[in-house]
Amino acid sequence: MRRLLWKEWQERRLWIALWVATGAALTALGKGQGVCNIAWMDSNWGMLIPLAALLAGLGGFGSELHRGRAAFLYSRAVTWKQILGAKLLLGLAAIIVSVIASAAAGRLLLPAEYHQLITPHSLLSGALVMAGFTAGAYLLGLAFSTVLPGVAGGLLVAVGWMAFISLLPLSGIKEPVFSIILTLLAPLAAGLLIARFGVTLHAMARLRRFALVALAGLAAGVLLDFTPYAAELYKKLNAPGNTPAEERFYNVNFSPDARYASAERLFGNTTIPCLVRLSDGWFSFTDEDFSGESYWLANNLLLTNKRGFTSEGKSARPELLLRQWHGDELQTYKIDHSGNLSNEYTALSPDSRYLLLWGYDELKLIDLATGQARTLAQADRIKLRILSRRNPGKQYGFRQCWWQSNDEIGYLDPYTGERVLAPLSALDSLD
Amino acid sequence: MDTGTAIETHGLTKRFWKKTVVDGLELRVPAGSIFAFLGRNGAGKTTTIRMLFDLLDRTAGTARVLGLDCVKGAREIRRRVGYVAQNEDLYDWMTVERMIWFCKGFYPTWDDKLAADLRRRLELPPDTRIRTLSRGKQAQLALLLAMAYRPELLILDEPTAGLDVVVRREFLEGVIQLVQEEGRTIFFSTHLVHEVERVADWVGIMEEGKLIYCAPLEELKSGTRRLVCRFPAIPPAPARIPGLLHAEKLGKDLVLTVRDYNEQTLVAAHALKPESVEVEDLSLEDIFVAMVGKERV
Amino acid sequence: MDVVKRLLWKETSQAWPWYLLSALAAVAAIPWMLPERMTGWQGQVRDYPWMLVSLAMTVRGALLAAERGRQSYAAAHFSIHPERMPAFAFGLNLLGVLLMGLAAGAWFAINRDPMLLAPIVFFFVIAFLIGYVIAAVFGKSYAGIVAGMPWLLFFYQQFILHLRTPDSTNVDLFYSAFEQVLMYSGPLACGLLAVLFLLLSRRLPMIVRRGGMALFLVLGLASSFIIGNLNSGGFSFNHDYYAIISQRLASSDGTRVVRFVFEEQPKPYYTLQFTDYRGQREARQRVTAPYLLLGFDGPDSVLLIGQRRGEGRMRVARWRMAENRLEPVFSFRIRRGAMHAGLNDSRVRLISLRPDGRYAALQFSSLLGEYTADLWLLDLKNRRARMVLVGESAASLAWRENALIAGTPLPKQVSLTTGKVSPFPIILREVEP
Repeated sequence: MRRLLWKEWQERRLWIALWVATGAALTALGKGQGVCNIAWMDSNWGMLIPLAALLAGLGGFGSELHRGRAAFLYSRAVTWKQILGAKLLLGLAAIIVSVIASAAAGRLLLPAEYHQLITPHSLLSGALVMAGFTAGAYLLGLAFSTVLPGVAGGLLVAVGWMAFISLLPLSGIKEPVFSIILTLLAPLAAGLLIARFGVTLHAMARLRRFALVALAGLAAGVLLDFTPYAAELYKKLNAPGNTPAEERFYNVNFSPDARYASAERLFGNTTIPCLVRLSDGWFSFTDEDFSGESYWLANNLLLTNKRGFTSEGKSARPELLLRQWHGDELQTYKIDHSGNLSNEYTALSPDSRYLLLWGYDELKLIDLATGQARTLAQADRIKLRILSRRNPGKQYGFRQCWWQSNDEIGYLDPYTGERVLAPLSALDSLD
Repeated sequence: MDTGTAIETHGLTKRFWKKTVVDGLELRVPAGSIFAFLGRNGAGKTTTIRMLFDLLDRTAGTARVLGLDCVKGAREIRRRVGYVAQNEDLYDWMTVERMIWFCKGFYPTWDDKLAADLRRRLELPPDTRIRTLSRGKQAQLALLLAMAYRPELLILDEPTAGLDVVVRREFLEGVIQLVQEEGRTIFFSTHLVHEVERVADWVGIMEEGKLIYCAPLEELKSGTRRLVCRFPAIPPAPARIPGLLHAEKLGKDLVLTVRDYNEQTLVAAHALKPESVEVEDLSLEDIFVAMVGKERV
Repeated sequence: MDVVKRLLWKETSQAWPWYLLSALAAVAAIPWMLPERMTGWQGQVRDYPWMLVSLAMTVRGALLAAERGRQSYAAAHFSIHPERMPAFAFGLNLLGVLLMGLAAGAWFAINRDPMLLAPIVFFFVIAFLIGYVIAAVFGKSYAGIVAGMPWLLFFYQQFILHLRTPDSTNVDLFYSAFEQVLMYSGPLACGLLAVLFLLLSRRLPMIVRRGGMALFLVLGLASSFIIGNLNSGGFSFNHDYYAIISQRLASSDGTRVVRFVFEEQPKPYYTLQFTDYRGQREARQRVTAPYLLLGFDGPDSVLLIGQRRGEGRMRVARWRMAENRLEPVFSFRIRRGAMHAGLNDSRVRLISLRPDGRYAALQFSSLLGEYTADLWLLDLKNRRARMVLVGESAASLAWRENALIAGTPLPKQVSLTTGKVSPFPIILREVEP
């Protein structure tokens, strides 16, 4: 066995070295991601490691079957199990080395603040996933090292995989498997290998062997994947770094003092927007579409900028919604506008009675007690456009407005940019 | 099974799809003999050997090597039998020394001293990569690898294919000398008949998947004769000549190749009323051609 | 005509394994096109087996082609170069079967929006053209396969996945013209290099040639990946620059505004402008490192936080408008590139200063996975910073007397004194909607 292992190593050491180097290099490039944190599998980079393993496996039987050395080797006092075993052992050794190399590279390279993530549990999970992927890829490579049987085997894997992903939803099993490759693909590839290389077997005997190994492997894999342990492990693999499967809220948006929150609540398969008063857990659904950006103002007002279209793509009037709790009721004020107002350009009066909103061509004032909105000033868009074209580089429109005091506002003239102050009472006469 | 038999097959058959390559082979190779397994290209020799070594599954029949079933006892057989295949492809990236080391691990009876001795005698440089060796030297290395563990039986499948005359002769003589010293059995297949004559004890001739002759070489040679019958005119068809293998008309001569030559054969030849009958000894090659040639009777 | 027929017959009967191989490789890719069927499934994890099967076949095909190419043909004898056929077969099959798969994909409710189909058709046509043209030029089938492979390997997944998730946008959108050229030409160039390596180095041992080819393929992929995904410090200056200069900080009454002044030419400095509209004052400050605006910590001063490229520290600075002086407050160790992470950053970046100016919180893209973030808590009085949440993404931040509240999917509160994290549950009273 030792000699067989040495022969395998000599023949494929470059590929094995490439495999291990790829794992370590990618871990290094990922600044320590790798076995230490399996979230890297989300990245396209992760694909290169199984690919390197696959290439290492592809040369597997090449020397025997392509160059006619099979007769020489098989006529020695060695069984095909030993021959295959040596190839598999080499793969296993490479997997172990690459996992260790990746873990070591990660430990060295992960910035100090992330070291808290490296726990024995996370290392074990990462190692299992990485080992699973690369083992499956290596076995695939071995199984495909001869063209036609490999192609037939590939087709078999294809059909099996399609059947699996089509039937799984029907089975009602909801818990996701944590290492598909390890538990499904590897048994298939292993079965293929074992069936192929019993040299003097009849076709039926080969098929029996393949079925036995593949099914045994699949059964073991399915059992492993769907046990409660696997589900626990999967949950742990997903936190931190990925969103856990059972979050209750999306887009949790707290008010500045965390007394209120807007969020989307997971309800079955959909999300429902809600506004929560945290002191007593009272929440309110809104019938309307929350398709807009919500922005909390300093005094726990929620301003939502509804776009000019709904999520289905139908056009809608651009609106601003102001929401605040009055006792047990949620007050919502709708403010129509020309389309240029947004949360970004607001100014709250020092006594929190009024809110100024402005856009390119519009200045609005909202009485927060009553929700009434009135347009204080409007600029001529066409005139603004002409001015812009004539003087490129200079900005026009209502660029800034502010509260000079509780009764006086200031703004920059949309046409000249000059500073203008105007008492609130006088603003009816603007325009 | 007779303990004096190294290889024994009963009804051994191999079919590839519809083509029968080996057809009900009944072979017995006596232990301690040098058995030449002759046949034309495509007669089924290599297929038979591969089945003996469990490199090919058989369609029907049984085969035993050194008393062991060739499938169930395959591993044990490989430990006790040396095999040099036709155009054997060694791992050309290994050096001679490494290759010897590699093969040593598979055989508990490997004799390092013998291997070293063989290497010296065959003049194989230890640090040379196999790919740089000539074909002849590679064949000799293959032989070393098959002999260093003192196999009880040595199977050589066309071992001298592609080698020049000088190397072939040396190879065969070297093999015989090395193995016969210890009373082992050698079973070699070849289609180069002339080289067998000098070394073999037994001969088996295979044709179209069947064993058509199997006996000691001396018996074959002594029992096979060529009769040249001269006639005044066109020779008649040879009828009722016992043991007739081959008949050929050459002008006014009728050349008959017969086996199991005896007085009866001569009488039968004279019955054709030739002017004269000359009896000649035959080389093994002539005998072989007569047995498997197209125009045989 | 007879001659052509015979030659065609001869070549197709030789090339049939290539037809088979490429067809199967293409068929193997079809399941990628199936839409998501299960919730809670990590799409890319599921793709790997398929991708590996396809890759196995294509890589094997190329390796075999490389071996087969060693047989020499007397090209002059044949009107159709014998080795072009395999490349032709390979490319055509891949193209044909995948297009068939797309057509069949309608049954599986794949989005047939032309905007999404166009890139994939473009990709496969290019793959075929690359393969065939290169094979024709070099007269070797494997040249085509090898040259086309980096393209195939990289873009296969990208394009197919885009088809499967209809709401994902085309990857080109976020890259500048130069970056796109680099991204596409990288694999092409490396494929060509691989071909040259194979052709020019006939004497090299097969294992070195194969290893070299594999290396080129890896480099080809890497050249494309370097543009994008990994959170490795941001390679694109433009994205950071525009993200930073579009910042605007305003007091709630609109009287004080701090913003970056826009410049045409991105240069490694930024100009801040602080305007007090009520007091009619203005100050400008040129800074030589990218800064983010933390918040006002007084009527006249604003806090900034910045990190130079390649620097392993982040600096907190205070800008006093009256003196127009930028003074350092403190700095803390943080990984390089924490602040520079390209456009993705805007999805997770949050900055919050507690109104009394005592504490600040920063959320930046995390090293771990996409769309994850790390939360840092800064104690401005004691001049300390620590990472309190790792790999979680909060949609908002809020302050309480003793805690920082993070709007993560399961909300959390962070003690301001100890940095300890505990749940901040949102408990709802069950009310009929």
